[in-house]
This record gives sequence, C-alpha cells and structure tokens, in this order.
Amino acid sequence: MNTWDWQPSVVAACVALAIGYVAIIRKRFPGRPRCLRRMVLFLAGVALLLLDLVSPIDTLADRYLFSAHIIQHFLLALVIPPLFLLGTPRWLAVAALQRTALARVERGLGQPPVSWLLGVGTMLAWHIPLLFNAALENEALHIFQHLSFLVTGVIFWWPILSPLEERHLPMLPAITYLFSACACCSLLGAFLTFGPVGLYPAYLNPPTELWGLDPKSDQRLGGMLMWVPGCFVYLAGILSTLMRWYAPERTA
Amino acid sequence: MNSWLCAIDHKRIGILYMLSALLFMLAGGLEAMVMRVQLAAPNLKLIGPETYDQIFTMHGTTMIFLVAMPVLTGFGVYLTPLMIGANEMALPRLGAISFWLQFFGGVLLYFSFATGNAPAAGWFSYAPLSEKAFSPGPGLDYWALALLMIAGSSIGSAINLIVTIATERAPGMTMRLVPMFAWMTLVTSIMIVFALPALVASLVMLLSDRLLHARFFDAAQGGAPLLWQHYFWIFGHPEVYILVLPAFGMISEIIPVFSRKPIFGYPFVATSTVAIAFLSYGVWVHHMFAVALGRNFLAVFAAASMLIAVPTGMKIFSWIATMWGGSIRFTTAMLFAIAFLLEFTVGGLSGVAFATVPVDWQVTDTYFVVAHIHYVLVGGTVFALLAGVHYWFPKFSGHLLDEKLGRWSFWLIVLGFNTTFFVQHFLGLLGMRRRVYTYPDIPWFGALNLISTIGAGILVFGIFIFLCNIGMSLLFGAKAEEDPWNAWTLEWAATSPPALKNFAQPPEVRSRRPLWDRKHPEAPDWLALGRDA
Amino acid sequence: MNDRRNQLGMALFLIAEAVFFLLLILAFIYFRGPAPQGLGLPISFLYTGLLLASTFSMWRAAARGAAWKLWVAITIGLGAVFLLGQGSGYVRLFLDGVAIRQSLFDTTFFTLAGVHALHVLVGLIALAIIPITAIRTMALYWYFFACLWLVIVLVAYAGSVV
Repeated sequence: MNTWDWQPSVVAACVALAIGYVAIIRKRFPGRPRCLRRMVLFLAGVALLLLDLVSPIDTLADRYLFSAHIIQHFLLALVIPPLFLLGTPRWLAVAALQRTALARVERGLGQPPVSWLLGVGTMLAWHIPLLFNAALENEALHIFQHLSFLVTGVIFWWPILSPLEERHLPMLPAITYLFSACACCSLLGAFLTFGPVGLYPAYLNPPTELWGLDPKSDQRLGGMLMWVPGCFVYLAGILSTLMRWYAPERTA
Repeated sequence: MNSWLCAIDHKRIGILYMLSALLFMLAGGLEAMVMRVQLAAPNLKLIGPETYDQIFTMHGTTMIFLVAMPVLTGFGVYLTPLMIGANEMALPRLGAISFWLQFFGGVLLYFSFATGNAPAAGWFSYAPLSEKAFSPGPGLDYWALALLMIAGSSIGSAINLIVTIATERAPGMTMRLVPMFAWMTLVTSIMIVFALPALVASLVMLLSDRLLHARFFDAAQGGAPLLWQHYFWIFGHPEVYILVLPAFGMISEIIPVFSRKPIFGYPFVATSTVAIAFLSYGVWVHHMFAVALGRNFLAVFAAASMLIAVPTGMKIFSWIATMWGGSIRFTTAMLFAIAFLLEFTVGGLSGVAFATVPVDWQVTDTYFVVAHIHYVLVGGTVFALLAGVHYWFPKFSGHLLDEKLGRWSFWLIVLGFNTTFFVQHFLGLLGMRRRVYTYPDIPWFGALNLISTIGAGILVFGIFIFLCNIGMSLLFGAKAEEDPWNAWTLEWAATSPPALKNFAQPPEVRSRRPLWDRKHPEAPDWLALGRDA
Repeated sequence: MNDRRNQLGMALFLIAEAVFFLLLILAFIYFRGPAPQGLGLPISFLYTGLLLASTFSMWRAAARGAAWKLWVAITIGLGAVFLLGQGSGYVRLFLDGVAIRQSLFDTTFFTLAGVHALHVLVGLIALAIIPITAIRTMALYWYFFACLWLVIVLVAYAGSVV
C-alpha cells in the first residue's frame, strides 16, 4: 500500500513540464502572472499526472484492482487533459500554432468528428480484452497506452476547451458532441458493470484481496466508476458550455 | 361541437387537454377518496383487497398519465406559440392526433373497469406480478395497451413542441431570449423523447410475455424480472422530472411578474434545468435500493441521487432571490406559487432522505414514500398548476377569476393537502405499509389515518370551491383585458382570449421582456443589458 | 420551410425509436444465448442486402427527379421482398417449433425482428401514399430502418457465432 513507484522518466517529465510552463509564463509576464487561476489549473494537472503514475494507484492498477486501473485511466483521459487545456493561455496557443507543422496538425486533428473519434475510439479500443491484457503484460505498450490516453484526451477536449475560442464548437453541436461521447462511455461502463467477469484475467488472482473486493465486485466497481463519474465529467462540460453560451449578458 | 372535435388550432387543443385532464382528475380523485375512506379506521372492510388493488393502480396511473402529463402538455401547447410570437404549432395535425390518442388511451384504460378487471399491479406493474401467471385477467393488457397509446401521444406532442420552439420563434427571439416556461417546455420535451421509449420498450416486452408467451421477465424460463424494474425506472425517474419541469417553468413566469422583478439568474435557472435533465437519467436505481444489487452499485447511485438536489436547490434560491426586494402582489396565483416553494422543498427534502440507502431500506414501501410523492407531485406540480390556472385563466377565457373565492380555495387546499399528507410521513416512519387495503389497530395508525382522511375531505372541498370559481367566472365573471397583470411576455400582447391568428404581425423582440420594452421605451431591457440580442 | 419542420420532426421521432430499439437490443445482448439451428444465416444476408439496396432507390426517389415515382416503386418492391423473404424464413422456423416462447434467444430476437418488420411494413404503406413533398422526410425513416436492420443482424448473428 505504501509502494510509491518513483519512475525517473515520469518524474523527470512532470518536473520538466512544470518548470517549462512556469518559465514560459514568466518570460512573457515577468513578475506577477496575469492569470493565477490558469497557472494553478495547469500545475494541478501536472501534479495529478505525477500522482496518477507514481502513487500506489499505479501499483494497485497494475496488479491488484481493475477499478484502480479505471481510476488511473479516467484521470489520464478525462481530468488531466482538461486541466492542461484550461491552464494554457491564449497567447501561448497562438504562438505555438505559428509553426506551420503544428498548425496543420491542429487543422486536421481539431476537426470535431476526428477529435471525437480519436477520443472515444481510444477509450473503447483499449478495453478490448486482447489489447487491455497485452498492455498489462508489455511495459512499452503500457506506456504507449497511457500516452495515448493523454494525447487523445487533449485532442478530444480541444473543440470544447481550447484556449482559442474560435475553435470552440457552437452550443448545440458541443452538447451533441459531449452527450454522444457520454453515451458511449456509459454503454462501455454498463457493459463492464453487468457483463461477464474475467474479461481481464490479470485481476482474477491478485496477490491479496483488498478492501473486500473480490474480482466480480472489482470489475463491477470499475464499470460503475467509468459510467457514473465519467458521465459527470461530460455533464460538467455540457453545463460549462451552456454557461459560456449565456455569458455575453453576464459580462455586460 | 364539430369545431372542437376537428380542431387543430393549438389553443383549442390546449383546452381539450385541460378538459380531458379535468375529467380524469375527477375519476382519480374519486379513487383517492375511496382509498382514504377505506383507510380511515383500522380493520375496515368497506372494500376488499382485490378492489383496493385496482383502485390504487388506477389512481396512480390516472393521475400521472391522464391528468398531470396531459394538463402540462395542454399548457405547453396553448402557451408556447403565444410566448414565442408564433401563430401556430409547427405540426398542427400531429398535435390533434396526440390529444385524441391520449384521450382514447384513457377511455381504453377505464373500460377495464367495465370488464370487472381493472389492472391491479400498481401503476408501475412489477414483474412477475404483472405476468399472466399472477395476473391472469385482461386488466393488465388494457393497462399496457392504453399506456402504449398514451406514450405515443406524449412523444408526438413533445416532438411538436421541440420543432415549434426550434422553427417558429418570432424574428429577434434568439434561443437565449425565450421565456423560461418555453425553455423548460423544450427541455421537458427532449426528455420525453429520450425517456418515454423506455416505457414503450417495457410495455412491448410485457405484452410479448403476456400474450405471446415470451420469456423476458419470467424467471422460471430464464428471464429476469429485474429487467422490468430497470427498464421501467429508466423511464420512471426522468418521468417525474418531466412532471415537474413545466411546473418550474410556470413558477418562473409567475413569481417575477408578481414581484415586479425579472427572474434572478436566468442563466443559472436555464443551465440547472439542463443539469437536472441529464442527471435524471443516472439515478433510476434509487427506486430499487431494496433489491439486492450490491453495495458499491447502490453507493454510486445514492451519490448521484443526492447530487441531483443541487440544481433543484439552485432554482429555489433563484426564485426566492427574485422575490427579495421586489414589490409583492399577493394574488391567488402568487399565493399558490409561494406555497409551491415551501411544499416542493419539503417534498425535495424527503426525497433526499431516500437517497441515503439505509434510510431507504427502512421506509421504502411505507407511507413515507406516499408522503414524499404527494408533496412533490401535488405540493409541487399541482400547486404550480393552480398558480398557472389563476394566472393564465384570463388569457384562456377572457374572464377574471374571483380573488375572494380564489383565496378561500387556496387556504382550504393548503390546509387540506398538508393535513392529508404531512401525517403520512409519521405513518411511514411508524411502519405503515403502502398498498394495503387495511391495517391492524396499532397505536397511532388509526388516529393519523383518520386525520389524513379528514384532510382529504378538506382538500376535496377546496378543489370544489376552485372549480366553482372557474364555473362562475366563465358564466358571470368580469371581463379580462389583454394584460390584466401588467406582465412582460408575448402571450399578454394577444387578446383575451387570443384570436385564431394570435398576432396580426410578428411582434418585435429584442429582450426577454418584450412587453416591458414596449411599455418602457425609455428604459428597455435590451439597452440596460448593452448587447445585441 | 415545411420540409424543415417535417424533417426535424422525423429526426426526433427516429431518436425516440433509436432509444426504444437500443433497449430491446440490450435485452437481447443481456440474454445472449445459443442461437437455434436453421436461423438461415446466408439467406438473411441476401435479404439484408436487398433492404440496404433499397436505400439507394430511396435516395434516388428523394432527389425528386422526374422518375421519383418509379424509384419509390422500386423501394417498395425491395422492401416487400425483404419482408416476405425474412417472414417466410421465420414461418418455416415457427412450423419447426422455434417460436418466441421457445427460448430466451427466440424471445428477444423475434421481438426485435418482429417490431422492426412492423415498422418496415408501415414504411411501405406510407411510401405508397405520400405525395412528393413528403419524400425527403420518408427517406430519413427508410434509411434509419435499413441501418437498424443491419445493426440487428450484426448483433444477432455475430452474437450467436461468437
């Protein structure tokens, strides 16, 4: 339970990300940062990323509990990318997109149908037992899996939370985008909750049973965590879209 | 007569819905009084258990599907085009079909009494009680077929309302500017499109089991009675919000006008409505806490159920904030609206109590549930409807209701309602089961039930005064002008009652209160808000 | 303008239908059982193909060209062949004793297929009587039920093979 897995690569990457971010902000605005809230959000994302990958959650996820693994992926795909996007100031995004290569990537991947498919598709694909189990056995694949959640997570949330407001979907398409993703996530979660146990054999025989969670309860809990809290995230997106839509009169 | 039977004008259809609901309300109310009389004292045997089962099944089914939903649809259909500055609904003939489908569904349901075999498995007809083996008579077939018609009607009218709001708004009325009642009607209608099909699926499966010997819910054949519960409540929970959101819409129109202040926090009220709509699909398991589903499963749904109280609470605060600092006019409509705030809050609190699983295990299937549902549905929806009737009656009929009679009916109804149902919280906590035709002479059961029955009598008397008010007003009432309340939304720009063509020209809309802008050209809303609509 | 209203109305109706069928399909998946023999896999794919082909003729009809009535007739024809073909297969099974009461698979599958077939029948009747102004709206209906059948077939037959 106290097994923190301080993988050097992960720690180094997170620290570099944090330092790099603060440095860039500082360079542009020496002294007090213009938007403290954004800095807090971004750094919270980094902190959460670090915790997600080095804290006991990682060990629990790899060898003990399916539900812990779901929590880990949940954070990677649905919590940390929004924090990164919300924490990126507009001028930084504009500057980054001055580079033609990045701009071309953004034009392609930022198309809502593409970003939706990448986000939802990645989530669904990694739960196919063949792929999920392979990732548990192969460390390189596992790292790729986690990175894919992060990257496609950012891509998925781009049309909703991008620092560039002109890239945001209008209200009704945004709600449809989020609702349909929520529906897919719910269906997968419901399937894992009510479905057959033993899809992911690695969790059938953990070294010890923790918190009274036998494999059946563990899988059900995992399914439910994906289903209900997952929906809350999409719902939060929908509600914030609506509040943004009403914003013109609130600022007047 | 012909012009009513063949009507497709939305105002006629709206009135037809209201009249149909009134008719079925009398039936449902009679059923309620029969139950209350039967329960007035312990060990009474005025009616037997089989009859009692039919009565409570019909009471619930009637009140929800033939009274509440139709009357709310009627208000929606009547008021929505007027409020958005349109002359007609988008799909008028669909509107007419929807009404008649609902009406004949009700007739079909009540025909079951004539066969001596009304449905008797509760308004939610759990399997396996609803299967042929345990309910061999045709009652449940009538029930399922009638509900299929009513569900189809509901989906039809919902589609009509959505298309109307999407395509028929007056120029200048963007979606951000629609009146709150129209917004709530829109959200409710979208909910209906996503929830009623679950009822249809459940009914199709039930009829397959009963008539074609299918095995959906037959445990002995490998089916799952639990599937009925899941599917029914996937419909059933959004359904209760479908029953209350239009009521919220009415309150959101009435309180501002009689506080002389625009609604506080329109974006919050509108957004929290959408939150409620989405969350309502994620809490259905809280109707099934007493089924052995597994602790983690229950915990997740308990948390979600508590969460849904938050956006509802936001609205209550918004309405109170609207009244705060306003100059309140205590018309009968406003009295009912204020009573709504109090009664619905009580009902909401008892609902949140249920979200706590151990509490639910103690009080489920007791009169605590009956108290809760009647506080939210009667104290909530019906009180809002009463407020709505007193508010919009001048528009519908061209006559004013009598304020004195209105006050009498108000106090009698409030007294009667609370007497009837408040004591039922205690009955439930003391352990009195619901859906039983009589009870033994346990201390307090007799006394509390008698109080409840007396309260029901007072409530009936109050409703009688209310109906007298309507009747007398139609016959002798003072004539109402276009805008008796000095209100702000577009329906008050039409005549009372509106002509066949609501508006000779499309009205000018630049804010949420077009009539305020018209009456106050020196300080219109759109100028104060400083932006183009 | 009317067209926009009608198409929006039809789209909303189809959403409601989608929820309805989704629940029936979920019930089918939940009760996933062994499929009986003789469900007629290859022949079903033929009739499925014909129904999918009818979406092409429906699309041509919805273009509202001079020959739209002909395209409607072709659509009706293909739809009728589908119903009769699938139907006769099921009748044969029924006579063999496979019926909705027989097993869980039968219950869920035949309810799904039966309700779908009813909707196709209503669609055929509608196509036979509607004027040209309604053709685009009916096209939405037709595409939906053709795609739905594909989904049902994939779920049912894939489910029984896997």
